[in-house]
Amino acid sequence: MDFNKPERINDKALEILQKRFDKVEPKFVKQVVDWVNKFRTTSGNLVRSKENIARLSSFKTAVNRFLEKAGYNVMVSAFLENFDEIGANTQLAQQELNGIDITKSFLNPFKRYAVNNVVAAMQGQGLNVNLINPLKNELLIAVNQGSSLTDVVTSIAGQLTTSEARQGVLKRISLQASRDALLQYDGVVNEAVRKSYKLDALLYVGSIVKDSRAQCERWVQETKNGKLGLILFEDLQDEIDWADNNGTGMIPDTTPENFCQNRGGFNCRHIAYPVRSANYIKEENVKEVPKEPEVEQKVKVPEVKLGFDKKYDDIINSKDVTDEAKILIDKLEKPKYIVLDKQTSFYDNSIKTLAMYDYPDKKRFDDVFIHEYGHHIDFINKYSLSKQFKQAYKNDLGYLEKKYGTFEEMIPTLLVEWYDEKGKLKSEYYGASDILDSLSKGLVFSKYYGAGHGVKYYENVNSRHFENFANIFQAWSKTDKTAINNIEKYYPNLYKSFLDIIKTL
Amino acid sequence: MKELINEYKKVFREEPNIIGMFWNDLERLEQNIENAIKTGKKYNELDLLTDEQRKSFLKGDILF
Repeated sequence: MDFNKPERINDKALEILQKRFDKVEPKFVKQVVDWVNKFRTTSGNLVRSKENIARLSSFKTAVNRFLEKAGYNVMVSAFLENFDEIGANTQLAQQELNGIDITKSFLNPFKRYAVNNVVAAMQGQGLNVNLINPLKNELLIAVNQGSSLTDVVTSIAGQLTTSEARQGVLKRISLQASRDALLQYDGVVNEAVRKSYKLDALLYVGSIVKDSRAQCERWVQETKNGKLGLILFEDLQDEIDWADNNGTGMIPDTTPENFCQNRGGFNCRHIAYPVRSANYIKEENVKEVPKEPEVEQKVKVPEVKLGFDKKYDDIINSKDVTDEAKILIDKLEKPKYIVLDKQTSFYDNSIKTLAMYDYPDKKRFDDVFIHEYGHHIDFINKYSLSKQFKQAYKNDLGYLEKKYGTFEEMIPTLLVEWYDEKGKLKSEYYGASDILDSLSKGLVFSKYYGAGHGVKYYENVNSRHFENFANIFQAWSKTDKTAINNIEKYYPNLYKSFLDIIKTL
Repeated sequence: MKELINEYKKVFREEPNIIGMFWNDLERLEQNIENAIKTGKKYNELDLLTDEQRKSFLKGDILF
């Protein structure tokens, strides 16, 4: 099970929100400034007139209109969709951890509550209290005092605009409301599951980074109950006390009853999944029983030897490739030949040969090698032509059409997200882009000039599935999970089907 | 890329034959099309393959 998924959903959601906000803010500020500039003035100073006072009463409506026009409401709606993804993960986690089927009707009240909180903070009361009312008051004072219009505009634009020195008001509201919303929701649901099903332990999971708090490191690495991260509910108060005394950033009044929600403190990235301890602690007094040392049966990671130039082995054996991929590559049959080609890189199934163009850029060489190796593995049994993988292709096509509309709407929308400001495709989206090219039968390249094999290549229907397998294999093999996370996000069915295939190998 | 292909179409009155062999190396594809425009020789990626490779590709055995 992928314990870090909520963390990744949250990170990605916040990253997208931030990017979208960066486009919203300048449009919003410009409209507010234009609106303020329409106050009546004399010699550059605001006039205390009935018209100006009356104009102030429409400020709130105007701000809401500007937010809509600037794309703020669309941005908020898109962020709210992530609650569904978190909910789906909770359902999956509880099924896998405890065999509990969490229904949508169980989740819905919590989702409504969480969504309402975000909406209130970003579009309702939070917006009124933190943005609309303070600015309206400032304008009222300025009109009454006959202040310089230039000064008022400068002040308001300054408060709304994000600079290196400070965040604009709208950005502060958005980030505060969104930062912990998804994981808090996850926590509230976990809390409810624990209570409803009387679960007596928690699995504390998530990644440890440089800034992780002491209590989070302690809990993630907890082993005394025989399972990494397993904390008994009866020990929880002691652990909270430990955190209060030795750790940092705990939310005041954290108790065992609200621990799933509060976890290791403000903006904690970890998850406390409620579980049954009996699933992990099979026997009591095990220390009395003489037994074999309980060393986890880990498969030894092999030093892969493909039997050709060592530089190819080095790619597979590097730290950039996951242990799982190394083990798989080591286990399966190897290509008959690996050769250099003067023109390009490819896999030729007729002679089981992997051909590489000698790209001067090592990263590209390595990436392409893994991609072509993915073709080699696929061709061992043409796994990508299985009924399931083909069905996943159709399902993802439907999924994307539902979410983004026609290809004419979908492709430009996605390419904007995948390209950097200089108009270059971000390397972590190469695979995602080519998969979209396959789904659109080559339109991404041939019509929009994005990365992909193009219409002529994808006229061959099988090639669409072969490339999807190779692209997912390439991303899956990497220890850097950015590319595979992107693939999972846009093509959840293909990704799942790929994992199902890999499990059988 | 778009401008380059439009320029190519103006010169040759047809699309270049791109079969996806440089899908992950668009800089080289651009270079190749530029060269085609400069030299007046049509761009056909099938010509860049050996006879054997071309056969394999057309049979669906070569994947880029």
